[in-house]
Amino acid sequence: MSRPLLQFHHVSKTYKLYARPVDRLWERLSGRPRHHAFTALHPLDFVLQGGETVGIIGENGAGKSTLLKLAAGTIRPSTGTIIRTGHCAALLELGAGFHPEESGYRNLLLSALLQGVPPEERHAFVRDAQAFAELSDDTLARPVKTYSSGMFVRLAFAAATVRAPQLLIVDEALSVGDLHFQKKSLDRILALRDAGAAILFCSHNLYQVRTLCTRTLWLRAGRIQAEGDTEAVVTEFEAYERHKRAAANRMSEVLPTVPTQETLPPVRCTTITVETAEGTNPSVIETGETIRLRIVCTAEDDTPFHVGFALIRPDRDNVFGSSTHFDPNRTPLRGAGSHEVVVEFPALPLLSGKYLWSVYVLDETGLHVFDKAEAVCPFTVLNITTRDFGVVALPHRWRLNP
Amino acid sequence: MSLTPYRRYFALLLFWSARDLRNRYAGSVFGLLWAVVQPLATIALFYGVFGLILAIRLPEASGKTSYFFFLLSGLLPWLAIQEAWARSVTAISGNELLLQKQTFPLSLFPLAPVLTALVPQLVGFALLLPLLAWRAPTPPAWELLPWVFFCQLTITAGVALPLAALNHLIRDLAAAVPIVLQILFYTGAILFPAETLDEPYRAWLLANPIACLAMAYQETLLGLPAPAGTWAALFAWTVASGLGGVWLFRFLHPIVLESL
Repeated sequence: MSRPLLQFHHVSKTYKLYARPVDRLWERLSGRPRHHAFTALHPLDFVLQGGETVGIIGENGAGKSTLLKLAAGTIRPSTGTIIRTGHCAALLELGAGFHPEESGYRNLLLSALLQGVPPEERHAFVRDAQAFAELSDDTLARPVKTYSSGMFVRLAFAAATVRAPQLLIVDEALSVGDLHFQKKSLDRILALRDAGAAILFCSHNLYQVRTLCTRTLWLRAGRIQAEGDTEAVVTEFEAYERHKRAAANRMSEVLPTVPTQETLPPVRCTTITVETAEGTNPSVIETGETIRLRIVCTAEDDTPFHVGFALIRPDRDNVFGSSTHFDPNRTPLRGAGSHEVVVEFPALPLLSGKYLWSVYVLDETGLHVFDKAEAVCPFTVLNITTRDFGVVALPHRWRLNP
Repeated sequence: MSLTPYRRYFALLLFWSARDLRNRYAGSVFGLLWAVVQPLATIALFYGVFGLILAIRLPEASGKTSYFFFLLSGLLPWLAIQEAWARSVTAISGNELLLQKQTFPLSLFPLAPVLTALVPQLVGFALLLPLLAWRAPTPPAWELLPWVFFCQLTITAGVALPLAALNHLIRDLAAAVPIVLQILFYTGAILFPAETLDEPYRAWLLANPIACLAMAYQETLLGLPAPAGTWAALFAWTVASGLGGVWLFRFLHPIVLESL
């Protein structure tokens, strides 16, 4: 079960930049360099075992995409060797090999050929992919240029994963298609992982990395800055990002984000209110007051779901966050209609400052976000009783030894 | 189970060629019919101008073979070669976006037009050969035909492969190829029999692989004796373009991959 499926041995990638394409030829013929070198990835080693999900995080331009393309085999390493064992599927650019003028059927057939599917299994390949993509026979016979973007992506995802890859390379492709299919594709990836596949997952969504990945690799300027347990690496990365933001002096106030969904999610967050003894949604709260965060969700059907929240500061630093699925014994909420979730904070220990709420409605795995309201209900906390300062009043005890 | 790399490549090549054939006439009313109509129109034009208006006659030595058969035996293979080269030159550079995102065997792209361009020739031969067997004064030398066809295929592919790779690095090639094709055609002993040329021009024909191929076809199909040295030259051209083409393609292959 646990065998290495992907191995990088001293793998590096240097892009040679030429003024003109023909310079590549002259260089090879004359032996004199005619390029500027740009090293996207310095020599690195790592091994991906079956059943493992490894996250790749880092800033833009840190070499994440290069690493994924190398792993997928679309580009070759400048030095070192990459060993892939078993069938590999790359969800980097879904449907990149599809021809718009050709029918969905023929595009599926080409995918099968590229994956080396023997003739007698091609029919099953097409049938299974069609079933997973939920496309009718008529649709499959039409050129893919007539497809909606959702249909296109469904077909591409099905073609890439129908043969149960042992190695899956995912580049933030999880938000594909409509909500129903997003969930379906995520479930498919998780099922493959549970069956022993290894997943290399690159994302800017640190929440997803935290939930999904057992191990994480932080790339910085083409080198591994940190590698290991996800929680430790992601926390370190967050600290770095915070530091960078502060240094860049870009601590602007965040604007409330309105959930942008094309289709209506099965569960929506309809109301968020904060209540204190003084009333609802006060703009000023005193340190030590008891407050309640009241979240009302409306479910369209029997979809099970969880509710999470985060108390954040205007620079988006999390002060505290929790979710109903963090307790493994708690069953998800479910049932059509209205659901109310109340979180009570007895004697709010926040100190003076500005704060906001973010609320998330998640699916039963806690991975997929049905609905969210980020940076809403701003309020100010005033600490008028003590002179303590900071973000939170920590329980403490003084001992003055003479 | 997965296919062996060799069988996988072959299945891909067939699929890509079929797609090539379909896509070229996709959306047109007559569709694949154009693949036959276009060469027919070319043949009719050349026959009208050179056979009827200019009335080129074959020398007495060639017996009673009509100019029409003479023209076809050289023109049908040439149309296949010309189309293969004209289209393979942009085969890699035209699919650059696709190659950046998907791992394809590079040689697939130039080889597909080499195969699809054979379709009109094969259709033409299927009509021409029974006619020759029935009407020609000298029956075709059937046993030589597979070998000449093999030479044609090797020369076509041997040039198409490095041409496609090279054009990815030097885009000027695509503009130069039509000119070279014109020269090869008009000095290719396709429109006129080699005997109508005086020395030293006749000897120079051997420097043109197209002329060698056309004269070999004329001897094979019509019994028209090819000038001395034609077969040796054809053999040399086949070996040179086959080995040289593959060698050059292998040399260019990593450079092209790196530039994608």
